[in-house]
Amino acid sequence: MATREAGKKMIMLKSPDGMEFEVEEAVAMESQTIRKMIEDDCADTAILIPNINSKILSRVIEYCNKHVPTTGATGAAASDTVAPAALAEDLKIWDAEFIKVNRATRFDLIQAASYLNIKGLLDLTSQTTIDTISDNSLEEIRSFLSTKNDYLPEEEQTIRRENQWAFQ
Amino acid sequence: MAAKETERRSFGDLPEELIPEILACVPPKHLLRFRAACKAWCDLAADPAFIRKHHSRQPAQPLLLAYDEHCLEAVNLGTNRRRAVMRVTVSGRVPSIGSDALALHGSCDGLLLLGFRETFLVCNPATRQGARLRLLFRDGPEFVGFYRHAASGEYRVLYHLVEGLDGEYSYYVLSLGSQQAIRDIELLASSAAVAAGLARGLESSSTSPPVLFRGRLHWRPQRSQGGNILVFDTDAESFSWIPPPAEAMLGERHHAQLFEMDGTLAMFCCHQSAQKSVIWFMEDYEQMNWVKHPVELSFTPAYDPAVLYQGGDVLVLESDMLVLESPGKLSHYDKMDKLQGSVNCFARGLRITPHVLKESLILPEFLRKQQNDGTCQWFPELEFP
Repeated sequence: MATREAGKKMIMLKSPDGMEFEVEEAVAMESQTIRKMIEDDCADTAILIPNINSKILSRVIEYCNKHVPTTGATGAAASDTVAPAALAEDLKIWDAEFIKVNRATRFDLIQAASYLNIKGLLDLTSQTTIDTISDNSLEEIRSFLSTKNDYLPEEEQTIRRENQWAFQ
Repeated sequence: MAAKETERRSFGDLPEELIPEILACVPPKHLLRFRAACKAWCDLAADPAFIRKHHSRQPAQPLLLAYDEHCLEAVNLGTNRRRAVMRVTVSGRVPSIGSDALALHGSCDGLLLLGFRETFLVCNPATRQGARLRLLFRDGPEFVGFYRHAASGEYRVLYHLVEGLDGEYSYYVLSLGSQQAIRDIELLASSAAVAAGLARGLESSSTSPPVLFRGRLHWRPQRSQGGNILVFDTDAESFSWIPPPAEAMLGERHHAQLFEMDGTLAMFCCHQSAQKSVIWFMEDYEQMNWVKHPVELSFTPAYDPAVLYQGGDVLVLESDMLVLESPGKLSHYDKMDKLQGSVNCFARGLRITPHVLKESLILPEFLRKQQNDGTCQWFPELEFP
């Protein structure tokens, strides 16, 4: 239910396992997907977020709460576009703590960030994943991202030869 | 097998459609290596839509010139580390300034436009591919812009030449197609005043490159343009002016630089001897409505005419600022003047270029037939570390 509390418009988000989260509209609109629903007036009642369980959804909301611009008045370009320095620094530290999760949770967060279209969270989760695998061997990368080598040995050799320098 | 699959899933399996999201964050060199992982990833790395997505997710890296070493370097703003992008190996002494020195004239979609000795080159450092341009220094072209022409998909170089006895500038476009055709572009200028301004010439793109915003190139206010911001529509290939902020101070001793921030065109202005600077945001592009945002700097931009002539000692990016405070002291600030760290910088012969590299696997038509085994047959003096 869209309700009003202390002058701020609230939105209800529902996870498929039946949990409900009441969040400020500005926080929910960190998600471009939800923003579109709200702008298209499809969000009068609670919004059901499919495929994202309550555990992950609560973490996503936690992220959006932290990253929503903290401007009192909206519309002033300067305060909208320039985040105070202290906040930017704090956010980096906060992000680093936030992403200290196991691989399964991180993959769930990537999936949620992709579906909800939250660029900052998608960058954070993907980048962290990449940082852990970039220097690994191909075999480890295949196993990490659950893909199978479908090349014939000679095909793989051809590919390797094409960008030999990238393997050094 | 079934048990193993279940185990994997419980450990957190990534849905296939998210693989591109993750791979879009991978640096190009790793991505080229990942092509050998499986066929699907190899196809992905050649898919134009994915290449665009990958390019847009790559970090913006300011470029530096270590001119004593004829080396182009990039700064990682996440770690404040420099890395060599490419180097020209030279035998014998080559002056580190002047037209014989390595110069960077443009950066567009991960492609770099370079000059060295008599030659001009275009190169994608991420794939180590490139080509010589059919233009020579001694013919006297001065580059003013480097862009992608959306309708044809071609990369094009805009340059000007002094012609005739009256010292007026004429403008040309070099299309980097397989034929590299030079076109005498019909100068579409929105008014006689704009045409007159163009004839007076523009600052070279090695010192004052234009900023691409909404498909248009924007040059910082220049005296030859009556202090206006010159705009070039890259699709229609036509010029026009937009006025700078009415109150902006744009005197001799002011440094002005345009950049894009949060989808807005912005202009950074500072006085060379004061710690006050202003960022102007063009809040409404159609209405040309500028909004002022003062910033106190904790450093005074060093007044060194030689350095400033070479393009300034301050580079402003979307949310960072790179400042060469004194020779050998390169600092990274955020937009609100908080020091983010020093970039390790021992070399004295180092200069901040006004260019930024966003790496990309882009393969323009004119490079498509080229092998990318890392050897530069098109310019053997070029070396990738």
